[in-house]
Amino acid sequence: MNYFWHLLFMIGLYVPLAYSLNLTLGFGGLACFCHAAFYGIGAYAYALLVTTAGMPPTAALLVSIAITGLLGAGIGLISLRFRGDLFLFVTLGFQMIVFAILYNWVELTNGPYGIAGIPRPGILGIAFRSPLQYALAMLVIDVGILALLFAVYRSPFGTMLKALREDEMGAASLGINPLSLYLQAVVIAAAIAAIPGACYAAYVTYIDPTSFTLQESIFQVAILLLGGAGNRKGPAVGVVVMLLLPEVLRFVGLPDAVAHNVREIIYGLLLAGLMYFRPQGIAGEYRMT
Amino acid sequence: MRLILQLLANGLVNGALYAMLAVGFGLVWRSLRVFHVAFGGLFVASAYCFHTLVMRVGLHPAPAFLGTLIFAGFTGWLCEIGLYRPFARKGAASSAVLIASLGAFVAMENFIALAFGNKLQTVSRGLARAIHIGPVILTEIQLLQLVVGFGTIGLLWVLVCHLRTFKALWAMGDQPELIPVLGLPVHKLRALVLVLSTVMAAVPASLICLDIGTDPHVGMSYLLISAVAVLVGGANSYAGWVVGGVALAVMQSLAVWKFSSRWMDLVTFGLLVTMLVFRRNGLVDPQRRVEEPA
Amino acid sequence: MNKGLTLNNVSKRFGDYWALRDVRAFVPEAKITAFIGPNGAGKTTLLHVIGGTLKPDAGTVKLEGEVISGLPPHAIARLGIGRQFQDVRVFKGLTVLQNAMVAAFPISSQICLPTWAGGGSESAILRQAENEALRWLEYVGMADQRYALARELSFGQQKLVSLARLFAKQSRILLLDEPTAGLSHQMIEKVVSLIQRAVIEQGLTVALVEHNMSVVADLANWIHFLHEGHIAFSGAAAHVLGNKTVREIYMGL
Ligand SMILES: Nc1ncnc2c1ncn2[C@@H]1O[C@H](COP(=O)(O)OP(=O)(O)OP(=O)(O)O)[C@@H](O)[C@H]1O
Ligand SMILES: [Mg+2]
Repeated sequence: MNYFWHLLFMIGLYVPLAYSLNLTLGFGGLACFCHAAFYGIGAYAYALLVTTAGMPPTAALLVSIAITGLLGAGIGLISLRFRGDLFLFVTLGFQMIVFAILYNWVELTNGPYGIAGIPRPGILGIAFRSPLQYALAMLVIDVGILALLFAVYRSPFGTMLKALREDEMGAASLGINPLSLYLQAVVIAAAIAAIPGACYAAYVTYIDPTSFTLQESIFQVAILLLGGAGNRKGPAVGVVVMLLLPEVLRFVGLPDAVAHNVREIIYGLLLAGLMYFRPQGIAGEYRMT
Repeated sequence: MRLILQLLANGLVNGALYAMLAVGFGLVWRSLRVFHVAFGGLFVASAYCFHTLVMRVGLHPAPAFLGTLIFAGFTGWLCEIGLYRPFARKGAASSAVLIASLGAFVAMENFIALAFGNKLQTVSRGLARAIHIGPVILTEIQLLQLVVGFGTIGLLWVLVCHLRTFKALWAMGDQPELIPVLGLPVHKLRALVLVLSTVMAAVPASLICLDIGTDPHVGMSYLLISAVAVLVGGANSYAGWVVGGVALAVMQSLAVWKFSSRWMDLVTFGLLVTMLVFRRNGLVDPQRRVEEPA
Repeated sequence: MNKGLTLNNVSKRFGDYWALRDVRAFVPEAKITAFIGPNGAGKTTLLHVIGGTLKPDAGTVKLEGEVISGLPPHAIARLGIGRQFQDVRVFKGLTVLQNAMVAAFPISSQICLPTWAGGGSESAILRQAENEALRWLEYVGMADQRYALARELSFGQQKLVSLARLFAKQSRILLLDEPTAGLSHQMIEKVVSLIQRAVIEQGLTVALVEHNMSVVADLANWIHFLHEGHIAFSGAAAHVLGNKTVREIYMGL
């Protein structure tokens, strides 16, 4: 049963990741391949703040959101000098850089050894212990994030972001400031990705850089492209399918030693096939242009 | 002074390797307008082919090298037939092709890891003999890398300048729709680009494998190197790619002196970002057209 | 004080080809000024330079005495200069209504603030933009297609949508790049009368690029004839259209 709740928690974790990436990739049409970096920055900021700095979890969460948003602004400012393939490549480069920093800046991040002993948060003095409690807490957080994000999707801002995605020059000729809107989208997406980052750290109580690799970024983009980007249905579909896929593989009875590689091969081929046969994903509205 | 000379020499050796990578990547970008991420996967595949031929089949490195080049040509052709051609037929958007290429890269990397394990694989040999050239010392293998690298680049350069086929390749990048009108075989030209590009990856892949070995996960770092060299050197010229590759290698070599080699990716990418921020024009987007904003 | 757009010695170079050379022209307020000329004369480039999507290599563009060349396109658009592109550039994946609404949103809504943080009442903004958008879609006769995706429309209908966008944006100056190219006869008449009405009823200023000479004759008050990047001839409409050189170079008569 615990395993079921664990799975539910993981789905809850990926929901805000997919929906925030949807803002940049689905609405803005910005193929952002450093979402796992934002997720990782959030996780590390939170972990360091609660362990080394001894902050209470809520404060640490807020500060880690702010830090990630700020770094997101920096990364966005540089990457947004480009569009299309080059934007994708530059964000991919940033993903590699953030990983290299998490892995090599031992003084700050403890490098490959990671950060252990992250305290479990709680409410009313009772610390969360079971996956059930975590899953429920995640559910509450998700509801809050989705309410916020759906408001953004629906707002004039969201529609203008879509207009930019469809035709940047056309949108600019109507008075829309492309850089400003894109940058806001990147910062919002980064800041929101920090929340699941912190939740993940609080759940597993030990983090290391291998959770925030380029593979992870590709996985998150794959979630969105499979489910479909640019609307409210797609990301949810993607999260459920992509997180249940490994369970299916387990059911098939793949030995653990090869399961990881087989999964990655499937994701890779899935991505390639998807781009060919169904670029808008299962339930999406936006197709790559 | 001596240290700097030594670092420069090391940089030049790596520069020969990077220049080949840049040319391989640049060819595809320039003439197919494809951001060839799978290039990293093909690089690793070639390295493993070389390793297998030497260590498992027991060939001498020289015939193994030739075998690797043939294998590389074949995988490049497969990549065009199985991956890029279908997208080109459909007239797919370039970012869709890029993401598909990334998917192919991930699949290749993990397939190799599955088949050969995640460990570093080296080509075991005795200690390489050191050779003194004036104040600098290079190993035998480094010398080989230098000679083969610049030799290959020079050879291809001569071909690029003198063969009409290469003019057609450049034209294909500018106006792909014009190629069939001119009666040129589009599919053959595209396949040629992929074959050449992959062979250009296989040369450094073999040489690097011979020197320090390979593991399944180095592909992305080398892709980063290739792409950054092309972007820094300027997307449009063969000479630019070579210069970009050499410049990047020398920078890395000097950076290793100050920082540790763990920060290599950061140095690579740092160079790109510096270029972007301070000298935007070094990075001409070859696809800009009249209707696009300046 | 000249009301309208002034082009002072505007030049634009692509590589070593001068697409515009020393273009001097005036686009007076509440009038229709046409730029005509053969293919490749530099008409579209000129509109790009005015709209800010290209920067001139020399010379300036002034709006009511203020230099606007050098500003980014969105800043120029906010000054009330609206652009219709030769290749239309509607938002193909959005609905017709959304296309027009995007133009009607106030600038303040470009900052993504939640309602409680001073973002204003979002639903009120949305409702207002929708009303405004619908009004102009009705004006151009596209209101009954409001829920269709723009990519499903014909080229002519897309041009109407892009006109509605310009009206919804409340542009004072319209830069129209071949608004009737590729349209059917009825559609051309419709677009011509829309432009006429816009000038008469709303007092808009129009800079028109057009190949169809009967449209130019119907609409233009003043004509600049562009040839190989410079203005070879300007004058009142009837005068230019009757000119012998113009007829020779351009119409082959
Ligand atoms: N980005 C560019 N790079 C190079 N040359 C360009 C570019 N944009 C336009 N040109 C050239 O500048 C000249 C003017 O082009 P422009 O599009 O302004 O012509 P036009 O008068 O609008 O023609 P048409 O009537 O066909 O629309 C053409 O010769 C064109 O090839
Ligand atoms: Mg034109």
